[in-house]
Amino acid sequence: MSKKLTSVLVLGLAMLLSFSIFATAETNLVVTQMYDAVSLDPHGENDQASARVRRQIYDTLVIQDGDLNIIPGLAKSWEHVDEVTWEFSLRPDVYFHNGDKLTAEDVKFTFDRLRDPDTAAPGAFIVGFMEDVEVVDSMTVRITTDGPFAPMLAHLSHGVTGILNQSVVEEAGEDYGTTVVVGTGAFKFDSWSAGSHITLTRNPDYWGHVAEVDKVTFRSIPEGTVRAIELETGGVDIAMGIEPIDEPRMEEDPNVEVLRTPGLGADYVGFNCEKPPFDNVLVRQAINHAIDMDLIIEVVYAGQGVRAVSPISPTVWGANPDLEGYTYDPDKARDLLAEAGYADGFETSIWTNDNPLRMQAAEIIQADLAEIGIDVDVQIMEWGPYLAETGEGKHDMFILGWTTVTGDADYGLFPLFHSSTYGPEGNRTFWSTPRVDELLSRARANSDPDERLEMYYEAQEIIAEGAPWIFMRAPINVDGIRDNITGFEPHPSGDFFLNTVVKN
Amino acid sequence: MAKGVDLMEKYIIRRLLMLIPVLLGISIFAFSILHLTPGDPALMMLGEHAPPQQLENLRRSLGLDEPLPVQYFNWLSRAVQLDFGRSLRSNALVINEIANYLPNTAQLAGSAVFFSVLIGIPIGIISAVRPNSLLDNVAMVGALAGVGMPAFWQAIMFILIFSVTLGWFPSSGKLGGAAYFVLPTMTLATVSTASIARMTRSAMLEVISQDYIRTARSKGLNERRIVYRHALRNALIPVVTIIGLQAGALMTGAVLTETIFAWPGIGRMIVEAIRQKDFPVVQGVIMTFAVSYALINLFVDILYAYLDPKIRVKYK
Amino acid sequence: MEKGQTVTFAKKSILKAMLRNKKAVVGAIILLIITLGAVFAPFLAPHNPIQQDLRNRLQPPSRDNLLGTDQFGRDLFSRILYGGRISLRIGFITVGIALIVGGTLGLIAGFYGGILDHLIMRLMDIMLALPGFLLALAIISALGSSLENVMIAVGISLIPTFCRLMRATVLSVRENDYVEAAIALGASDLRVIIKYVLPNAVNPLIVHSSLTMASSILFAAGLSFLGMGAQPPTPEWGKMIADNRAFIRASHYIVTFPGLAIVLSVLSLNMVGDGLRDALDPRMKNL
Repeated sequence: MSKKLTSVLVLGLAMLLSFSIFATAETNLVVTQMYDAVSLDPHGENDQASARVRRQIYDTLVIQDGDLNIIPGLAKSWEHVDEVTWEFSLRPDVYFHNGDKLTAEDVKFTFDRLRDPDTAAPGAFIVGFMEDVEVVDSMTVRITTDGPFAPMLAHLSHGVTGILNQSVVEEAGEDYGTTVVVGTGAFKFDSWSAGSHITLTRNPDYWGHVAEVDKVTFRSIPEGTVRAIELETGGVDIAMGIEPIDEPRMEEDPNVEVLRTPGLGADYVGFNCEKPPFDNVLVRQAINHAIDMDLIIEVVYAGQGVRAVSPISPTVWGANPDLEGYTYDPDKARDLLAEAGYADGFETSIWTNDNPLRMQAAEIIQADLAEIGIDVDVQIMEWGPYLAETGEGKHDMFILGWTTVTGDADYGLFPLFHSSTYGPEGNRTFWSTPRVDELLSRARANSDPDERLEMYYEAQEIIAEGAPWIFMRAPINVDGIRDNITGFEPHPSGDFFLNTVVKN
Repeated sequence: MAKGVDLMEKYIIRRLLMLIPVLLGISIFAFSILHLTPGDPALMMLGEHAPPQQLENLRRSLGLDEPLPVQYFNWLSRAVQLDFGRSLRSNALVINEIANYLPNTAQLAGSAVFFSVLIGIPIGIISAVRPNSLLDNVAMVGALAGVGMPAFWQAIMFILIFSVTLGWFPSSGKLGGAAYFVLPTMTLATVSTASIARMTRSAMLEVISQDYIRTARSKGLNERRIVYRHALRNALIPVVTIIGLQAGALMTGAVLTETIFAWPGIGRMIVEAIRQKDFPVVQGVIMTFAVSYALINLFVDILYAYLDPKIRVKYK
Repeated sequence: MEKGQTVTFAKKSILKAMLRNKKAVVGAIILLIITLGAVFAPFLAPHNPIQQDLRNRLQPPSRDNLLGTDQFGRDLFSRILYGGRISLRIGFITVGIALIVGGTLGLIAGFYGGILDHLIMRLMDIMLALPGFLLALAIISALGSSLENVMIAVGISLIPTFCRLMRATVLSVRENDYVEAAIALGASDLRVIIKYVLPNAVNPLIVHSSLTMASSILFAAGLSFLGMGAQPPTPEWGKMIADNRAFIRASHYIVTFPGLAIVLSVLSLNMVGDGLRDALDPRMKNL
């Protein structure tokens, strides 16, 4: 009996410990990020995890390089015919992964599907300016806008506008984006182990820079510490999102390089400005003065970002460099609160999603506000319901971020502070002023960069004064790569292209 | 014998029939989760950029404007065909997602059962052979601690020791390779190992105190022979069923273990679906758990019923 | 089953039997320490459990912070003491819910039998169709996350075993001739219940309650760990482990100690429960 037991035990252990080793010379680039992708249909969920995978599979008409310049993508050239009309000439040498040739029909189909209310694409707002899309000939597309729209090209570089293959999408129906995925990009979709990893393979016929590696594996690892360990031990080659607590250790590791990219984002605490007491500007200013934001950035974010003074990050075109922000001054905060008629404080709540850093920030804000007599209840919510309920204005205060993916001030200001975007479209503080409305509307229709800048500067001053936000942080994205990886350049928007990456 | 088989068949059929009302009850519960929750399912589904017209379309296509009993029967009639709809988040068919995730849970649970039997039964035997010895006391307090060990804490401790400090095993995911199984298996197996050890011990003690063992002893048979030949064989019968009864503990453990180790199984799937309020997935997974649990229990009962008469025949 | 006899007999011997059982004694001592720590937390805790001190975060154990500090510089020892209050409260409330609702249902089912018995027991079968933790998880998914909802959900998930236990006790008591006789002589239901049923139910219910309280604390900590229970800055043990998990490399204390607190409370309750079972009701096996 005991002999048998021992042998079974040994056998079991051997089974458990044996690593399966693949004897191939294939280069497999392993990239890890916090979440698994949700959908590989660009018209599905508009989340970053999916966007990063889709970037490798699909191409857009134009591309925004690391310095936010627009360069040709699927469109080899374009012409601004008149104020509201643009014509794009497609590259003639582009083929989808299934062998079909890219045509203007596919482009029209893609934009029409994206804009169709029945598609219910969360990213549809990116092309909200489109009035019509016409096929001029098989290689030419004409786009008309509903008015002059200065940041148009930046919008067409957004991953949501990746071009789809009409016949494939129509044939796949509801299954498109989970089991059927076809693009023109540098990598082809291979397989998806839901909740675990996605594999892509090189597209040898890519029209651009053909990928250097044979395979890419996207792994989702929710825990920051685990991502760090996997990078240190070589389980992954590129780890997106190194958490502050793990950063010092990474810096010391000779096999790992830490990349710091100033991001296009802004983290903020939004007030519900239609709901007392936050309808009172003095209360909002008081709270801005009551929070030691430098300490939060030092402790929670450990230098992964700078204190925000404006609603858009300094990296974004149009950011006002002259703003100074709110100083930490609890006494002044108490005075302002008293002046507003809340000398004894009040009870309120702050919402956050389950992002660990935001949860920490919320707890510190809770403690800071307790100092000036405001009793805050922290509520942690899940992403979907969180967005839905803040969109409906059910909140008091909430922590959220916004990434100006286009790098243009319009994208960072219009959806968040224009009165036409109240609610789920972006303005969850329900705050605006007629002057801000006017400035933002005029600036997006103006094609003169200097005049636009002036308008954006003024708008930011009014917003800083009106304090619909607690201005928190302009993030710096911190990612880690193994030392044998070259050619990896994270884009300020948080995306990246993997075709140029070499694994030595 | 033929009569016995006949009785067995009848028993199985009766048990299967008894499952129907239970599963119907659970299905009502699973269905009503969506409607007990505050908030509009259509809004949650379409998220932030939904114009009212779209919401209305979706409500109609989901049948949310029909009376509840009608909705339930529609849902049920699809559910019995394994159609739980599509995930609100990924738009994938729920049943396909379950089919993707369930094998991973089954593999993990199977590996945990294998090791807990392998370790738990010998510990139980050793304890029972020398009851109240130091070894027994240590083993049993250890087992009691194992039963009460929070899986989520234990998992983090394992990660701390075996991944962070020693760097032996990966602490997340399942990418082929048996190494990915080690820590989740250790975590999941703890509770069942401890329970199996406790059960084996008490079953053994009971058998040892019975008449025929005493007779064997008085005949002067070798103690080792008594333990292995007679006692163990009889004690194992209840233990076999106890292994089956670990199903509940394993499912509970799977939820926490899979969540921590980012294991792509249905335990993690339900936690994420609850967090995302992805109700079709929650409903589908609850039904999957209920059906699996029912079938495992049924199997165990049948096994027991099958073993039991034999024992009586042999020893009466 | 001459219970009149057993009850008086048991009273004398329980304490003796318990004291003879080393494991039960050790368990009782640990439990007592945890309970005292929880009850007198406001006097024993050296710091305010929710007072932040960001400049003093993630400190290892020291004289000022016996078990170190967490990611907000809060004193871990104080938080664990206060956490004991929450866990014990969860234990008592959930078991209370299950005892009252489950016990009553079991009493009705066993005493009145027939269709009522049938209905109640089928309902219990449905509730048992999911493992307890999953049932609680599913209930939470409908009710939403909060400590109160965790107590409700866990309480509900514990009802079936109490119901079955109570029913079994009632049925076995009713088998006795003297109970049959009392009923035949026209004793009211209430009288039969108070005079015969409850005294016999007390022992198994005590044993079951103490063992169940252990699993209820474990369930609740698990739910809080998953973010479906206590909300910040509540010092709940499971939640503390979840929140501090990202910092295990910098300071493992903040995860190790709350976990030990859970293990010790659950272990001590189980040891006491096992001891009680051996002393009060040796025939009772795991339910």
